[in-house]
Amino acid sequence: MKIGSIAHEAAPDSEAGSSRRTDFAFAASAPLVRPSFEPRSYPLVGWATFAVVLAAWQLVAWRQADAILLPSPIDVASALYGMMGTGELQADLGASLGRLTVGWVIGAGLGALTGFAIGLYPLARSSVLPLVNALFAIPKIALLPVFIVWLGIGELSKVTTIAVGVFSPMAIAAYSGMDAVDRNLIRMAQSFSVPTLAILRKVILPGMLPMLLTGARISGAIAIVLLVGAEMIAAENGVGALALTSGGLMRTDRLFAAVAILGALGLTASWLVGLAERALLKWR
Amino acid sequence: MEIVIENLAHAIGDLQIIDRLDITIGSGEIVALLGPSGCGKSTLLRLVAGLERPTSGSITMGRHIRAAIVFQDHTLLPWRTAAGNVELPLEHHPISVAERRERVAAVLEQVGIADFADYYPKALSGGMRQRVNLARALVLEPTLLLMDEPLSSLDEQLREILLDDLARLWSERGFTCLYVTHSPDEAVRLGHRVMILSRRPTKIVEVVPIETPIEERSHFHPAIAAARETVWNLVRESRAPCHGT
Repeated sequence: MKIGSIAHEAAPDSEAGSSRRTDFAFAASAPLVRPSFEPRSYPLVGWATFAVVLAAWQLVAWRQADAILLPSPIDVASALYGMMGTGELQADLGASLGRLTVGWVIGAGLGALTGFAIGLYPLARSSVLPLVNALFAIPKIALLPVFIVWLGIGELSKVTTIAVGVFSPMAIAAYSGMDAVDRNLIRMAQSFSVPTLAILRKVILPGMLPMLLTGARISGAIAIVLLVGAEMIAAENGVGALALTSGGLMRTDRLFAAVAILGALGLTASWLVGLAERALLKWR
Repeated sequence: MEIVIENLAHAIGDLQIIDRLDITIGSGEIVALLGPSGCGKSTLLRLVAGLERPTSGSITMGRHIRAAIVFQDHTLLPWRTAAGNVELPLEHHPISVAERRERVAAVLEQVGIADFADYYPKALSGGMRQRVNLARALVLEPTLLLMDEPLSSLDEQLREILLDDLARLWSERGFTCLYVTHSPDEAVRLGHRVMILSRRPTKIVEVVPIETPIEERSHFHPAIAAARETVWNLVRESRAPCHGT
């Protein structure tokens, strides 16, 4: 009987709350709260989770005497504040953001264009697609030494690494987005004699947009990973370099601050894509 | 004569879809093409619409024919509102935006969904989506309407209502119409002639003319009930021998 009553409480809005008797067998065989599979979310819960994690971290850091091994969130915040005062933070973040933006824009742009070509021309699909797939499987950070040899240790090799890393997922998103556009819609437009270029603009482009934005989301995360890798291997500034040097100096408060900034970067990127999705895909 | 189809044959690869088909359709006539899904009816429509070229034979049409297709379903652009979808065919014609809007509003009114002009297809019911579909075809003021199983995804009550609406629209506008369906009921409600088609390769098995004026027809009209029986029997005799795909 206990289980039956729990099932009742858990489902205040289901029809079973009214007069149906909920006995043990029923509750055991059919759960009253069924998953809706709707992509809903509670925005506050995200913040609350974040707060709980921070609080737990603070608690553990208090108990753990050694602040070198685990600096508390307050230590990390004060390190962030200190670096902001000296301007280090702005300099490192600025350098990282610059690389990230330039690399992502170039890579995503070229990737999307390549994806368009693959989607539109069978010849491009046959020739370029295997290359794109091969490139996708290579860990791009392994190419950094090659780019350093070719392009020097400066910005160009880092930006290129990011661009190359972003290229494949974006190309794949673009052509598979195009493949997924309902052929019936294209035939419909053709039957109304909509010109081919207008079909591209009015049918294919909006149809592939969801996939393109998913590509942007994934490639944004990849870009951040590559950025840090590149900065740890070969950079004097940037958030990745900050993390590496701070670790080397056992300044774990600054190391954690760098990691926190990277997390914030990832959140910002995904927030931006979310904004674009809400603005462009409100029809879904 | 509005449309003359002569000795039409069409094959895709080795598969003969249509074989030596002759149909003559008069101006303002509704010809119902009856046969189960997947036996070449849709291909025939696409050939008449000029979306595909037949393997052999000819389709001759009057000089001033404007054709529009009403598809089965799922051909509305999901990112456009009902009004936006109806506007699509007009966007490539040299008319002002104001006139475009006006014509869209008028045709939405005519098919009875003026109140839902700003809804996205996702928020519309199947019946309303099909009305948008119809409005999109009508907005060009076609003289020839090619309908590809326009009601087959709707439930029976809605179908009944839309059949009446189609009859009304026809009597208001007097378009010529090729109405492809797998439903004998729809065929006898709208067709001046019902052509029963065979299994692939598509041939005409029988033609049933129906004299009752379209505006007077209903599900229970005695002449229509009789015609329905005749058509059903013919379908059964021929074992309307093609299986849905």
